[in-house]
Amino acid sequence: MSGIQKDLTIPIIARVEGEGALHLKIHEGKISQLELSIYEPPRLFEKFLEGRAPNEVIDAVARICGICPVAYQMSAVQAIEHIFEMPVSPWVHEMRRLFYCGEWMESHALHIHMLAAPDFLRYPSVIAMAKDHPDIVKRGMHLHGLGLMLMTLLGKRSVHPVGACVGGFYAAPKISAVQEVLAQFKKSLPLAQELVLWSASLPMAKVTQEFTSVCLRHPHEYPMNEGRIVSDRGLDIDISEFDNYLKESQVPYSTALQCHLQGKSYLVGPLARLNLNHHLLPAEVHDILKKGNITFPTQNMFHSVIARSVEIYYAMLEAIRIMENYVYTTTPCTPMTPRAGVGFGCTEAPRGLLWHRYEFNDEGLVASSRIVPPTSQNQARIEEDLWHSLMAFGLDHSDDDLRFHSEMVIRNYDPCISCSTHFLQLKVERS
Amino acid sequence: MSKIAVIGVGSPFADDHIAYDVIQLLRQEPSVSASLQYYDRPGWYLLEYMQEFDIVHLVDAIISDKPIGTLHRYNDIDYFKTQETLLSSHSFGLAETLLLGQSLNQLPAQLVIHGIEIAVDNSDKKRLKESCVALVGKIKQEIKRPVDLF
Repeated sequence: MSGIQKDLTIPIIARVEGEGALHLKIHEGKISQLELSIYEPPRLFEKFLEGRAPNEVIDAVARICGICPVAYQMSAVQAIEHIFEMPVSPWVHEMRRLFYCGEWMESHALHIHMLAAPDFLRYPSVIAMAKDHPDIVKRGMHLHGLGLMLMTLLGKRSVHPVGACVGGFYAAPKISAVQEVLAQFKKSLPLAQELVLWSASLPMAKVTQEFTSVCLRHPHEYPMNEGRIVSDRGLDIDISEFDNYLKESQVPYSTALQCHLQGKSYLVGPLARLNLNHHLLPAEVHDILKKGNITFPTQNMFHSVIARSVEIYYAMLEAIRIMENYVYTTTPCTPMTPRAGVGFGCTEAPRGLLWHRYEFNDEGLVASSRIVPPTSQNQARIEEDLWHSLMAFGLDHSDDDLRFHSEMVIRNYDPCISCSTHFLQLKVERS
Repeated sequence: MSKIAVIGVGSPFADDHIAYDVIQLLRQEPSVSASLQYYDRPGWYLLEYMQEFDIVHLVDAIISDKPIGTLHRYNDIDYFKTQETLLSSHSFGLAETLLLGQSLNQLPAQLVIHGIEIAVDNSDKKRLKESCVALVGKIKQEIKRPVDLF
């Protein structure tokens, strides 16, 4: 197609969380411009938080996202407890992990079955796919529902939960309630095993790319709530050093800030977590990986769907472990003594690293806050992947084919634009 | 005997809470012999909640071009047919959930969707309260004689 010039626009990217667009300029058979534009208006949450009391922050940040509210609550609570120098009790540590297991399951099951599977199986939507693959969709709904159950157990409701507070939780779940959820999880475990093997059998391109994986790493745990920020290129820093290494910058075509590590794009999310932490998975997960001939680390971005499935299976095993050892407590929360200071929180949201920084004043109120969500960290990586993937796909395809392929590449990152607005209309110019 | 449920769905905030209000009013009616449930934005999981019932009355807020408080009633899922190109799971609403249920052949044998018109940028609490009371009366009647309805 040498000599052909084209300008292709995808005005709204379908099946992603939020609204964005892609503008592609093709000149003499090469991409001359590629812009992933997030055009949702900034939501100004960081400003809304100023002047708020500690527990108001925990309830407010849950409203940032209907899919991953737990992540926002957990990063905020960690930062505030850092400022107030509060220890985390072993009970609270385990319950926060259980809470997070619920959110990973809910978010991943939704993405795999509702958003990604129609791409791999070539359907326009989950509604169309459901006619031919009802059992797959029902499995997704069931696993999603189990995640919601856990979120409700600790958060009192699954959408914008209200059970978490600085120091722990407002109430401990009754043993009978935990036992009821535990029984459901044990019964449904084979579904998660099937899911891992099914995701590995999906038709996907065998293309690899050079990219840097970044995530949390904990010495003994597959990372959720705690750890140092590490990469597969030698980065190993405390979460308080985030700003020294991971730099946010504005691009004129997007309301979301982009993030770079030493001037280069990087990947956060389930694939990055598995690439760097697969050795921390329990034997049951390694057994299923072996059975499915699945290996990590991998540089094939499409393996993200397998990574999400593996994390669902892991989250179920972890949730079962925690619930089997559950002990009721009358002190689910450590009392806080607000004080002035600066604190940092960083946890692994379903979509990747979620970093918070808060400054509290002498009155124990928020003086300033900063939130760096995973999608803005992945934004530069998505652009780089699109560039690479579209060239490999071939630019002489029709606009519709380019649009489908671009959307599939983007959806593979499970971007949450609403969180990061701070997704796709595709505009292609060929010249 | 048919298992009947009245299920309200919607956010507990602003006027979207009218489904919750309808369920609360029905709970004060001892003569209502149906399971009364309310879910805050259940998404596709609504299909699981409906699975055990033969007859389901769904209550939700609706925004169309009608005056605030207008009562809507639908028993034909095809009315909700959309483009089937979903923007996100954030926008996977009641209509998409019901269409998915239709694809999965997982809808109750008899399903009625009751809507109360609300507006995005203004409210009329008095009118909405009257509409909730009126809808409760209609649902009570329909539950009493489900065989006549369909």
